[in-house]
Amino acid sequence: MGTSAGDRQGVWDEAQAAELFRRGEKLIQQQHTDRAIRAFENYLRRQDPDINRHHRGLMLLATAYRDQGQLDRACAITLSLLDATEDPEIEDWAVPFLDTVTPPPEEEKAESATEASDPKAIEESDLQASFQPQPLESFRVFARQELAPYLVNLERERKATLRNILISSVIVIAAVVLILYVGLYLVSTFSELSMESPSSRPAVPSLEVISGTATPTPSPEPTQSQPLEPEGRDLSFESISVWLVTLFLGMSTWVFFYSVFFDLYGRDFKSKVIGKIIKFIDPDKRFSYSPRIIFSDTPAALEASTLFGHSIYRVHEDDCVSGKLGKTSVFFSEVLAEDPPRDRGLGRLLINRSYGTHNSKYIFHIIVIISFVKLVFGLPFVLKCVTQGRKLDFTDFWQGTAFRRTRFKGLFFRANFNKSFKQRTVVLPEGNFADDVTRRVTALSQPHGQAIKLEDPQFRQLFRVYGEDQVEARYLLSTSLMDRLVTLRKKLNRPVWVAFVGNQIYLAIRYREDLFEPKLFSRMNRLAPCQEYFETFQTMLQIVDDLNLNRRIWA
Amino acid sequence: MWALIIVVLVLVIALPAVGATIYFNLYNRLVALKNDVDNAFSTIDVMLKKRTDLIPNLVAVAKTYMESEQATLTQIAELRSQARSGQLSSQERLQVENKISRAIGNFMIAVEAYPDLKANTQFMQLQRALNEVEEQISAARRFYNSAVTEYNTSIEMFPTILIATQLRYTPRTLFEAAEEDRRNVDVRALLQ
Repeated sequence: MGTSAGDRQGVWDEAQAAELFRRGEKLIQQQHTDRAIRAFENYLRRQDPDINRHHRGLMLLATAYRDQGQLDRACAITLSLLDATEDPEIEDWAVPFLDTVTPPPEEEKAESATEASDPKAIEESDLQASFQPQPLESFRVFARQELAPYLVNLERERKATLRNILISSVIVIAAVVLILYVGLYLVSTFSELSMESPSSRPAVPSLEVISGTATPTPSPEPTQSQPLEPEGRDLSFESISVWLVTLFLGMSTWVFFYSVFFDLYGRDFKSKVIGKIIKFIDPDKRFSYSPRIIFSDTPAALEASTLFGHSIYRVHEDDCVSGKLGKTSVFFSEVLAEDPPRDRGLGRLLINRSYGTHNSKYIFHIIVIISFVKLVFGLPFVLKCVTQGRKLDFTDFWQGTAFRRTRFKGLFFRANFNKSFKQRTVVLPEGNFADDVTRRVTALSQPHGQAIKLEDPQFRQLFRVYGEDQVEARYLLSTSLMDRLVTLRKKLNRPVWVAFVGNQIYLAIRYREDLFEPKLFSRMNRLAPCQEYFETFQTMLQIVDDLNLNRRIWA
Repeated sequence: MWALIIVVLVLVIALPAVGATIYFNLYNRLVALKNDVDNAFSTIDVMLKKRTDLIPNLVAVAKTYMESEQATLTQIAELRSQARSGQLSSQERLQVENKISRAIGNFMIAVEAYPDLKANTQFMQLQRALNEVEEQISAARRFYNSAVTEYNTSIEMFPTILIATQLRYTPRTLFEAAEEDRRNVDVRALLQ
């Protein structure tokens, strides 16, 4: 294969390289694997000035080879990539990938039986193609043997983490009280001094509501003020700003501690528990799991599916499983897609103003306003995260996660579909939803399409269909597929969106909680959380069989 | 006095205007539904034609392998030329197309006895293409039925029924399987 350094004749210039790479990437997304292979081979004939993109091209070519069944080539490329670079992220991708391209010999024979003249071999490859779920009982046995020792340690860690969080909360509250005490004392001292000068600011209406809800400590003011001072002084702008800034800093510090402890808790949870569960579910190693993926197609796939509208600001992705069952390449991961932040304009305006004026007085005002806004929005967000036991990332929080609306949170599944089609069809959940994320996604998925009335009454109760072509939509949604979608929806029991775009089928399943994460507020040394993880993975992997995606009898 | 004049003016001008708008909306809707039905019918036609186009290839590939099935193959080829002749009434055309479906079905079952033919890549591609066309014909028929149902419902509901009788729109028939196709398939009889 012409991918070793010696074979490259020259260097692309940046524009050419970018164009070739983009073309190959697009062909991969559209599942035109053989054309994608040719495109990438062409791209790799010369050196790309951007070495990261070059590596990425090699990774995509290896994936394409694997999908075409040329496992030896995929293996060769991966090994040469591992030799060529010391990048640990590439290693993280390569090692599980190699697992999927070095199958045992019998599997290879079965997979190459697609064009075989032996009907029995075709039968065998059909069996290979389906996913055999493991029964719950054997999982219980497995969990007791393999997972229990780690979980006992994890439980100890969890209790320690909770203790640490509690201690740091106490420290933070004490510090906040101290600073408030000192700050208000200073404020009232200075305002006493400035009583001689006529420049006194008018009293601002009390914002005690905020201070009242945010901290239980009583206000130290009454002990400070002198009996002859007018009451307006206690509620002056300075004292309010002291409250706001202190509370905001206190909250941020607390979030910092919380995120640090939460991060340390269950560091190797993913490899020790989730990785093992996947290996148990998939002993033939048809799937590869990685907790995180650096170069992920998921943002592009989210846009391509047309379910979530355009300009998705940020996508957090976790727990990616990819592999191939029979002829269907499958990929799913836990996804959080966010809208652009709402306050962008306001924030920039404030910052520009503060740079514009060199008056320190106004900078102080701006700090106070920013603290106020972040406190008001941040506090409910923090409370929501903590009560749901969710991770809180400090850098994210500081950069304003609280201001970003969730566009979609849940599992996102994609596979290449067994019928070829040209136009777009979407299947949306029907009904009134209490969850506003569900409502918004359903509204975003509708544009450019006509309503399609299908025959199955159960299907119509659960789903609405929009598509660009009436006949093609019915071609895709055969009576059998409609039946299967109804069964799947009943099994999952949560909103499901399906999109048929570009020869791919995309499924989005709404989950409100974080999946596959260690829980902080409930005991971890029980079977129940592990069983949840196990069942979620099995359900996702069974989708291929549930929707019969391996039935490839059409052109 | 003025109030009375104004009320009369409103009644004379506004009411007919509103009435006319409603009438035009209903009329347009009815015409759109009728055109949907015609459109759906023609898409079925398109898919059926796709199928007839596949038949010569099928016959050519199968001929070399299935010497003892020449009768079946010639029957299919004949039915195809009948369908393409363009001289049939729509009722006759429907019957011929149904016969083609049955003949192809029988043919596919007969193919089971010829493993060489089944393994031939060209034949497998043709089989896939046939499956796709059959499914698309089914989709087109479902679309037709859906369009006809909406149309029939509209012309039977009040108040569009008034406009329909004025335009002399009659209910259309849904596409239904022929009597022979409704009977359960006896696979054993076919394989003898």
